[in-house]
Amino acid sequence: MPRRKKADTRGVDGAWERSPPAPHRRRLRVYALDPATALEIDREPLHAVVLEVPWESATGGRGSLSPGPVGEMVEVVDVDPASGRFYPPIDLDHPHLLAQDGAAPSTGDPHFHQQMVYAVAMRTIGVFEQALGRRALWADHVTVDAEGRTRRFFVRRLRIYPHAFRAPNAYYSPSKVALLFGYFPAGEEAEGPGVAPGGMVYTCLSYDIVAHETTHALLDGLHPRYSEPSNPDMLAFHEGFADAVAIFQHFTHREVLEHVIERSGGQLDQENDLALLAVEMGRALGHGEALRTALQPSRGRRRRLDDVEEAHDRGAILVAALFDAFLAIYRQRTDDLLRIAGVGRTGSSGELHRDLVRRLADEAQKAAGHLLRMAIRALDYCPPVDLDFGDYLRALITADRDLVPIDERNYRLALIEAFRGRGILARGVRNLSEEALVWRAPRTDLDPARTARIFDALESAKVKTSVEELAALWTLTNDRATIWKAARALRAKLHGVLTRLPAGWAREELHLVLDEVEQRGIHTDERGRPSTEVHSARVARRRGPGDQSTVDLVVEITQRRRGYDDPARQRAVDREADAAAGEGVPRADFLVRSGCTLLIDLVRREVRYAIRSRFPIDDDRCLATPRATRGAELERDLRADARAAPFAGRFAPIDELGSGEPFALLHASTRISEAYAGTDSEADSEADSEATPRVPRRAEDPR
Amino acid sequence: MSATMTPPAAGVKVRAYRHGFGDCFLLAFPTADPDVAWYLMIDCGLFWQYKRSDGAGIREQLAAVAADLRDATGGDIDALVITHEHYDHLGGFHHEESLRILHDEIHFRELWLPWTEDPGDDLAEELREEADLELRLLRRELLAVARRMGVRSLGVEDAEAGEQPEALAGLSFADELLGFSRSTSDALAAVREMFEARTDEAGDEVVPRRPTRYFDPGDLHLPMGPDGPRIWVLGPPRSRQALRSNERSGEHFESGADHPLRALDQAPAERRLAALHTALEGREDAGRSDAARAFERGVGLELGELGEEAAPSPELEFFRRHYGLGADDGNDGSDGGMVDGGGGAAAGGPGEVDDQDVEVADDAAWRRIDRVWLGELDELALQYDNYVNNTSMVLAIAPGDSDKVLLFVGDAQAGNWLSWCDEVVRCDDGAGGSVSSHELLQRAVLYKVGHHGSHNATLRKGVELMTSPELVAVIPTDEEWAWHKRSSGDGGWRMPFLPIYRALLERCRGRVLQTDSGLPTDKPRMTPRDSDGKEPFSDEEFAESETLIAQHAGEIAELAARLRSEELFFELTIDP
Repeated sequence: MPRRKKADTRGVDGAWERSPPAPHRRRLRVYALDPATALEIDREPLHAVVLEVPWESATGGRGSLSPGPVGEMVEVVDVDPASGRFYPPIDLDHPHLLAQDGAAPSTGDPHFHQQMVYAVAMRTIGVFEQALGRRALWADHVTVDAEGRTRRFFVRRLRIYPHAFRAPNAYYSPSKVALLFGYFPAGEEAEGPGVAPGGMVYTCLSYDIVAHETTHALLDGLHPRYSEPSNPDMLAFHEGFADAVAIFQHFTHREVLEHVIERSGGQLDQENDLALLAVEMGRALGHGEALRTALQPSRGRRRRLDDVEEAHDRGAILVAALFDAFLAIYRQRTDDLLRIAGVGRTGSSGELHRDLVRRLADEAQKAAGHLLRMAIRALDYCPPVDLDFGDYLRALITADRDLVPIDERNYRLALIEAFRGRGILARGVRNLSEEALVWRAPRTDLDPARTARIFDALESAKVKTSVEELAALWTLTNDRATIWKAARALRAKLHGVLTRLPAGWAREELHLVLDEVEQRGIHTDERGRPSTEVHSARVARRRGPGDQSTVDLVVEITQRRRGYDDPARQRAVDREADAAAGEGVPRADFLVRSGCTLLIDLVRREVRYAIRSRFPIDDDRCLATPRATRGAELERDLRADARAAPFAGRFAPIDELGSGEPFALLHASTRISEAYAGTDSEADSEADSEATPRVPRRAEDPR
Repeated sequence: MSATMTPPAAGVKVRAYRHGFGDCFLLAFPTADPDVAWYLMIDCGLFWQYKRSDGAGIREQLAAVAADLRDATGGDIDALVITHEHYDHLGGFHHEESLRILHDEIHFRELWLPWTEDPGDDLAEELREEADLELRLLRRELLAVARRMGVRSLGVEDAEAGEQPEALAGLSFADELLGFSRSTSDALAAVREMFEARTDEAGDEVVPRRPTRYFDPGDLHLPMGPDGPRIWVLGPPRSRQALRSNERSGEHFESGADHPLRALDQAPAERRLAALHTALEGREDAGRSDAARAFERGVGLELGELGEEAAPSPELEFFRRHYGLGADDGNDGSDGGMVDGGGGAAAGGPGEVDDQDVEVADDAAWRRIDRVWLGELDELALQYDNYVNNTSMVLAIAPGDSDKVLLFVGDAQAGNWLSWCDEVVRCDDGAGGSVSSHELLQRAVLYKVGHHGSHNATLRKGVELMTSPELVAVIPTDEEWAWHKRSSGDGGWRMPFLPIYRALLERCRGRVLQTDSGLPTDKPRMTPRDSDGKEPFSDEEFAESETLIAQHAGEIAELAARLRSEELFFELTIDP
């Protein structure tokens, strides 16, 4: 189909005075869950829903949209190497599609597949942007040239391949900054409504799977170091968080929600469609009703965090905790309604009144929406590296308190109780009260004069102006490259200020080491001080005093160190004080990072929170958990290789292989991605030095 | 020194060839006539791309082995065993130079093969058809991928063994598999042909047809009658499931301390493979209708036709702009693939662009996915390869005058091992009673280590059953070559696998013989950090092996004293 020029909204003779304003939203039809559930007669409301996504168009609006769809945030490229086909792109601006909410749901029409991945990805991005109050950025593309210099590149759009390979899997590939969806004919074990052996299953038509993978991409854009398995919760967090975002989106589909409430008599804590994830895929693989469920388990004893080890399983505990909190909040919000209607908690007799269903759905939708936004906002309150679920609970509580100082509806209590119930504990916290869980500010009382100087320095570097500019850009502009550049400039500025903090105070309160160190394993600059990366600088809005919205500067600072599997080797490398200068440090087995996230109120001149990793980089205790976690991963790596016999080791991760991707929907072989071990992590680590782009640096490790 | 390999007066003599990364063994048993030996030959091959560090190619190596086999036996070998259909076990029957000697200058009296090669066996026939289908599908899919990557044909189709195929060299195991599987089936055909009747020009039969025997697990064969050697057959198991199982949790030797993750459920991987299988089969069964395509025939454009020569169209324009033409060179984008931000669709005005300002190009090659499917094919290829290893014939051989057993396992993997070391295979003991596979293992004094010592071809349970204080292990390998072997861009092979080597040292009291370096005291330490592959073995693990070697210096010296070391082989006599 020919690509149309900018649509002419004026009459033939140009006589129309004004064109109609651009709409805010584009309406697109998608499967509410997936094609299998759309085939069930008694789940009629689940068949298809209309999603409203931001209006991007060649005719103007928030950004441009061309066939693909290729918009400002995502680009759908439908290349299918396994079948040897290329499916031409859909043109969503075609009048015929505009007039009927896009292409009709169909498994046999690639145009609909393209439309659905676009719509669901955009919707998920929208949820993020709304919660964070700023535009989302994807992970940078980082390269290392022959001389070992690293460069970062701005990736404007997330690439989406709806038919990337022929296997029951899907993943976000950090190396391609792309979502890859597989398709496969269901096997003999396929069982359940809507699936049959041999029937084709498309992972790109599962709302949940698309939302899940898009969330991986968004999270990676915000926290690139969260793909490093430095503790058992790290990859699990990625998985659980992505599942939670997918599941809480179910509640935005009004028809589905009312249907479920009607069928369950208002109870959401029994197995229901809202709590199931990837129904069709689960059935096609013979898993039962769904691939995963937020109700863990549906029967029997509650699963707790220490019962499980694999990343998806641990992630499921996080989802379960968030869902438990949701259920508690929902119950609290609906008790009165049910009492008024004379419906008991243990189940109603007969059908609920239509009005009651609507009111219950209102409450469920609100509660789910609130919880989802809390979950996303908490990401700004997490440590830059090495997060665990306990940290995340603290981030949830702190972030929510910043937005809603008085917790009238007891959301925070519900979260604390739900996490406790799943065995998720926050370390180093005296008790589980809200006060104890809120992150603390660094102490400044010991040397107020010196810490005050931080703010003088920030002021003289005109950081405040930059932050304000960035905050404005983040809400106003459509050109995210401008935001990216502004954020980079701010990072460089902050690097200059933050590395000159009083060293004793920084180590004690921020776990940042700014003095010279002796351990050779620590990556240092030319003066022997740990090299420091300001790896993120962004703005976070919150409700300030007097209910005014104010802006905090969020800065993430990290340092890194070479880790060795063998503690003796570690000691040898670290303590070889008299090693000849210039002699290379042996290749690391893994990298350890530590650092902190600072939330800074530039107006009131205070560091509101210092969210630190466990230990400073020069404290040898920082090595233990990454080493043990890596040991466990290697163990699995080896087992994966065992499958890849006859020649052990030969098939250790090929980057393109789904099994080598850290974010595969199903882990074929639970290998460590190349990104975490050996060459790549070293290369990757060199990218850190990018924080001071203008200062030419001596090549650090002449290996 | 006479070239002939004379049998001992009692017991058996074993010659283990040291030609490289492959198996070849010759056993000499005494007969009633002191001047006549009874020779058994097991396998003759080399890995198809093997090259010795001194540059000797596999042709010369195999020819030298063939010549020695001829000279050692006077050109008369009583039985030839081919354990399984892999090039490193029968490549000698493929190359012209070695085949000429084996074919023309040695008279083989019998051929012994596992039941899986029996044309009259229904299950074997079924399994072969399945395997053939897999190979055909792999070839077709791989060809399609190769074409899209700008490779015109699969180099392996024509590549000679010993050469590096050109096309997808080093990229794909599936490609490699196709290469050697063809040469391997040619080799097996050549072996079978040797046993057919031979006629002279006049059409008169000069050499009669000689028998091929197929063995089932549980068989006892007495080639010289009740007083000669006894040969028990333990594998391959008659079970598709077992043959397809190449790994089982907790059965293998593993590195490092116990980790709680050991018992992880690997089911998703198996299911994934099964689904992939279904996908490929679907395509085959449906013939031209291509049931496993994403969509009906006719939907979309042929990817292979979207090249530079294609006629201009909006579709081609989109493809060129957002995906890019040309081969995906597999580059991760470290160089090129970028344009200045000013050139990007929506970057700021021309004046704002500075030289650090870059945005990823829409058609960057590193974002393409042409190779993703290759990875999936590789998994299938590996599964196939493991299956072939599992069809290895496993023999427990006892000389006529002794109860000691020599265990030859081919390259059996988990499914095969478990069928006789976890379960029990009962055999006739040749004296009216019966003997179990476990008892035979307990009597083993020589263990031919499976699959060059790889980590999943020697099971923990099996080794635990080998309790004889005399046990000697022989590992046919070239550790250094394997270490540097690259296949899909990642580190070399660990053969022998250190935890297995260590377990064998312990079990054999130091008497572990490697065909490349020989005795443990001469074994070089393959230091992992010198290689660019990652390596899960710690210094402690290496140190443990070294401690064991030091502890058993006496036993190793004793072995050295009774070992005949030649450049081409080691020879060991097993006394009754």
